[in-house]
Amino acid sequence: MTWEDTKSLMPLLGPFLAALAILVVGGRKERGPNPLLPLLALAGFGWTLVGVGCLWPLEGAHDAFAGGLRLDGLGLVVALLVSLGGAACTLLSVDYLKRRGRNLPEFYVLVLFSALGMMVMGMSTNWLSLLLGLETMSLALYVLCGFLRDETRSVESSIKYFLTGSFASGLFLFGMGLLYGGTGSFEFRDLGGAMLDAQSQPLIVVGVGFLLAGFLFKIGAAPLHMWLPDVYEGAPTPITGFMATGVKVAAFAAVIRVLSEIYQHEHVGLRDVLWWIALITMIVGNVAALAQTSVKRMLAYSSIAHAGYLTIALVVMRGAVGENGAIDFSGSLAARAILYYLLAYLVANMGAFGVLSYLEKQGGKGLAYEDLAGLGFKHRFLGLVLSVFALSLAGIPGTAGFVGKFLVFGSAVDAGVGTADSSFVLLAVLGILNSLVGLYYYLRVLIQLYAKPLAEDASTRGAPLVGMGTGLVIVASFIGTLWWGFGADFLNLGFGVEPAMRMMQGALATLR
Amino acid sequence: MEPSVLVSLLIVLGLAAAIPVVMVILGRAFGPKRPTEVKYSVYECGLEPPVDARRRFTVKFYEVAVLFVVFDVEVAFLFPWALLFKKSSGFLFFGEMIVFLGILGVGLFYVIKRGALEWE
Amino acid sequence: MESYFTFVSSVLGFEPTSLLGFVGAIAVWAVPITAFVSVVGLVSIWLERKISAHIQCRVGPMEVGPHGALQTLADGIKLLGKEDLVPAQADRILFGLAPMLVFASTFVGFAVIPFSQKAVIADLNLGIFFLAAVGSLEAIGVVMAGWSSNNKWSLFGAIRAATQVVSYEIPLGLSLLAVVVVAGSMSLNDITQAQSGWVWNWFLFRNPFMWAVFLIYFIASLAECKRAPFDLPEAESELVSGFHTEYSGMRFAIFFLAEYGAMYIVSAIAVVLFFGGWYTGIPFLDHISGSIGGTTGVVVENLIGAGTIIVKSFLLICVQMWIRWTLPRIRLDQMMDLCLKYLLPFSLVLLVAVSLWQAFQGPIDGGNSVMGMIMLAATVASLIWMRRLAGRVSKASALRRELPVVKTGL
Repeated sequence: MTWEDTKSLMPLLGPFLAALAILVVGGRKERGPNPLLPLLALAGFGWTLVGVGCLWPLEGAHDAFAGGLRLDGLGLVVALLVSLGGAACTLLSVDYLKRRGRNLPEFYVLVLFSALGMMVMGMSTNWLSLLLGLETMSLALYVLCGFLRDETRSVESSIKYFLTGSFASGLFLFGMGLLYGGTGSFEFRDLGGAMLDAQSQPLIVVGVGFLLAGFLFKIGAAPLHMWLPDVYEGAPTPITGFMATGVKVAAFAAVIRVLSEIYQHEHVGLRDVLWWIALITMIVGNVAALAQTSVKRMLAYSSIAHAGYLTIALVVMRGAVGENGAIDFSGSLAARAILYYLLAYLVANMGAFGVLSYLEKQGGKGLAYEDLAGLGFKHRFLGLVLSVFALSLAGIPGTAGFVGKFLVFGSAVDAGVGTADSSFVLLAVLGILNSLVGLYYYLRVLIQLYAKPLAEDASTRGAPLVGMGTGLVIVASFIGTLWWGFGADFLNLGFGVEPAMRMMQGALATLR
Repeated sequence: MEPSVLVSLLIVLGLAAAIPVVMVILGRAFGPKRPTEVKYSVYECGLEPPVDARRRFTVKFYEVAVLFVVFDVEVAFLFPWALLFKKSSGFLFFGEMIVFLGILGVGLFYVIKRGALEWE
Repeated sequence: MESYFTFVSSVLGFEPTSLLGFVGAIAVWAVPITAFVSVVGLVSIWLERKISAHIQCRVGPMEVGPHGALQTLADGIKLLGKEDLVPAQADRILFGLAPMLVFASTFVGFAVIPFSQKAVIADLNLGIFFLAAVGSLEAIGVVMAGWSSNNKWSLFGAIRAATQVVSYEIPLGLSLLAVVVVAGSMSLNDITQAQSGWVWNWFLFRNPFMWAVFLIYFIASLAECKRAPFDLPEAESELVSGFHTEYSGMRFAIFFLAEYGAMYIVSAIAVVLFFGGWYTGIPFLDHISGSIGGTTGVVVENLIGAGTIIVKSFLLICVQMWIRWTLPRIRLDQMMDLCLKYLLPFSLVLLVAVSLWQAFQGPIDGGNSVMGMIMLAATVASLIWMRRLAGRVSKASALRRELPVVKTGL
């Protein structure tokens, strides 16, 4: 470790220092809300955002901790997305926790630490730092899920997540051990070369299998998705939003890094495995979401479906092998599509969960479809933004979700057309069919909002005004969803679809 | 370190296991053996033990165990650092330890301020 | 430097590398060390009874041997004739293993404690770490004893013991770290040799913080040995001696022996770390082999060393006893507060201070000796001052209560 290393840690320092500061300021015996603490948390995320802004565009990459962490374009994009999600979660939580009477300093500390873990995951270049990030993130999230400890479902969510999550961590560790046995190294970069060695191949295949299971668990892909609906439904709503987006960002970034080594070889069985996982995940998520009566639970299942769409892009990712042996994904449309999709999913999802966290009543009530009946006329603005978020998640043109889906399916078709192998195109077609299924349950939200009469005893009556934090998140997500959907490029204001795509491309240029 | 050091440690371990065994065997050989039911019951100030002894105890002890894990691992991590301190130079070596201790110090500060160590 | 093995083998006339030489050296070591552990037990138990008696204006054991010196031996023989009881509801395997584990964790410590430069069976380069590691095994044995007895007193005692030992291990470890920072080695031999020369070269006087480090080590080691005022785990008056309530006969004797063995171990570590180990503090005596010469010189030098470290250790044991019979037992919450709220933060700060001092002062030539002389003078001055203060306080309090000033035997 040298002073040079510390520079590359700058984006990580924000959440870290903020968490320590909150511990020092907020740690006292008398429990009570302290308005300073969320501001400190926001300052932490703001530090990271400013850091990303200052460092971008990054020439080359900075390594830290003897190459265990790597601050490159991908790391910066992960830091950007995670701190956006974390800041949104913090803003939502202020109102949410106040209404639940659990506005405690530990909440913000845990949000910051989980965000820190996500960033470390996205920046890691060896298994050890990956595990470190994964555990930092997961342990904080386990506690956050059970933060409303007087509510049975929150506690159930926490226990379920903890038990299944520790099992996944075990799988992950076991895979790490096998890979260490096979490659003799903890570095990702030694994986590709060792795969050719016939002697260590069985170890590596099994090891990658275990690791894959761990990853799939974290992103909630079928068949390892069983924990997800209960956990997402029971967790505090802002945390559900953060979990659904942040964990995906971190895990997919790490997967991209690992795949850039594995995909060096033309024919990898992993593609076929992922092909089936993408298909099953989409079908399971969409079909199960059809049957839900609670909007929050529906969004949980839809998050499984989104993990499936994202996995399509993982299947079709291709790139030229660079001079250092790793794949250069900067030319790959699919890899860029993943990052763009994550951005689109982040804004729409945080917005949707923001609206839900406002609508939610004590004990997690008030989130059934019926509770939305006629709401579009009562709260015009809330109805409008919730419809836009639902449409974006469904992938209707004009929203960011559409651009993301278009890129993912487009890249799959692009990868398949002109080759004898029709499986990629088939996967894209199946994905499009699946999003048609998804359209049904997203549109049910709109039907409830606008086509049903307001219930007489509407429980939303007399609801408090939307708090400042929640309002800020909802408005920002609303603007973002449309901004990155319409392509605000014609206004020439800068960060529209094209610049975002260029950023994602730059992010993938220096993976190794 | 010569290998004989490890071998002799092993012999000491054997000795450490053997001495108590010999002592117990001697005790058995010289001591009487007159079992009665009362003698072999659990000591409870002359009463029949009303409940089994193995019951739940307060969560405070678990807190202590968690704190022990945190700080004892810290101490174990610091040993190599302390060993190399004399040979090292420069403030970075010192600074790294300060950062490490600082993080744990903030944690300790929080735990104390939060009242987690109050033993009601 | 010749190792103990080569030296003893050559004295015995064997080839050092031969199996016979090895076995001979082991025998030469194993017999006295086993005897030594027993003698430490016998002597310190007798010392404890005498010291406690004199503090309480009694005479203590007088019948067996001169001034009751053989009383402990008689007690041991009595224990040999006692029935070996295992309660019917106990977990027999754990019940049997517990005293062995407790004894082994103490006994193995004697393997790395140096008696002199050569008289150490295993001069590990990780000596301190090894001692900390095997020392903490004792807690497992104690918990096993308490759990397997299926007795409430035992279980409470065992939990208290585990809590206490585990908590005080942290300040203990941090004060060991401070010494490692100063010495730059974890080998007990190297640490001792870094304190050769005059008295002021001892680590206790090496820098202004070492006294505080020693005090923290000493308090923590009292707790590790479960000595008063930290004798909550075996509190006779409330828990009927805690985790070993159900033990009788030789098994009880094993616990007792291990307890007094552990007292010697922690005292000997303190002597090695802070009081110059086997060095008398007078360079002429410490290097007498230079003036006598030959094997005799080496033997004499090592005998002086062994005598020195044993005397120093027993002095510290006496201090432990003095504290035991002076201070009342503290409560569980006070015990935890003292450790986690005071000793732990203080030892963290001391570690930082010691390493900062080492970084600045360490490289200065001769600085250590000057600092040591200043510290030694300050120590002697404050001891004299404290003695006078204590005398005044006891006189004043006696006058206030209109009591006669009690002259104790000590």
